[in-house]
Amino acid sequence: MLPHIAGEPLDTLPWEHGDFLEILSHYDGPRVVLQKDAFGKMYIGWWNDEDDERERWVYVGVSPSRLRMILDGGIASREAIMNPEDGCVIVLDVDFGDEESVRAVFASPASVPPSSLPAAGARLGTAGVGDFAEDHAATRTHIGSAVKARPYSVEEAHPQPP
Amino acid sequence: MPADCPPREATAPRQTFYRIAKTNPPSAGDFVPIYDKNRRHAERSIARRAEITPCTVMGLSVFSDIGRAESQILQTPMLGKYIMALNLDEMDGHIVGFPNDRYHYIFWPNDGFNPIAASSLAMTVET
Repeated sequence: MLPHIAGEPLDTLPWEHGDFLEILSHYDGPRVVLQKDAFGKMYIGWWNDEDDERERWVYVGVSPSRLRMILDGGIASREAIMNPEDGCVIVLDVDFGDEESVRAVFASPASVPPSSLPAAGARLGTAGVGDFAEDHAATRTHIGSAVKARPYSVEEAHPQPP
Repeated sequence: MPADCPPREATAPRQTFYRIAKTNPPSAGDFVPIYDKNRRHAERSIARRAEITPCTVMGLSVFSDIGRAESQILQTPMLGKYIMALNLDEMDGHIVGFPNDRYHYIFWPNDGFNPIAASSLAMTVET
């Protein structure tokens, strides 16, 4: 069972649930995602934990400059979560069976179990996201100048194994 | 799986790949595609990123480099702390590279492939 995290409940999420702006890390499925609210504010969400019935995500609101630093690896993921610009994180629990059933709270970053957070020093660029951040055209479209563009070649970047 | 899954470009694996597991030895739960576990979530990822297809989320993520597996654990530690080596050959299934992620592959096991028997512990990552 996922540990209880106390916080102020959100009646509605800032973004359209499930409508990812981008997927920044994939392992079996999305593990780090980007969302945007109706006012253009960005949120990075890290898959945090799961039990047999639900999974938990931790979201952090980010300014464009902070987003750029996180995607560039200038700010480690754990630091981004533990020291959010807003002072709090959004903890989102999503049921496996009916994903429309979600519970979200504004919570203190300190209330998230430390062992579930990205390891100290781990940066998105070291989990396959760096290639994404620099190469993915969709990212450039969505976050504008926040990510530097570079031409991408599938053959060059992803050789087949022997 | 859909008729075109694994995709035509998938190849037979002939090397060691690495998969994250929550337990050592791993359990069947460590080899469940997200499509079977959380279908709505999988379908939303399909809708968002063109290169992620229903077939992609019916497969399993594996890495050709153990360091890449380690970096995934460091980013999302609750995936598990054990890195299992899978010495795969052409009888075991099909693989294809995951877009924009050099060491990341999607593996579709053949019927009869026993991932637990094929796994051996390669690394434990303490976070």
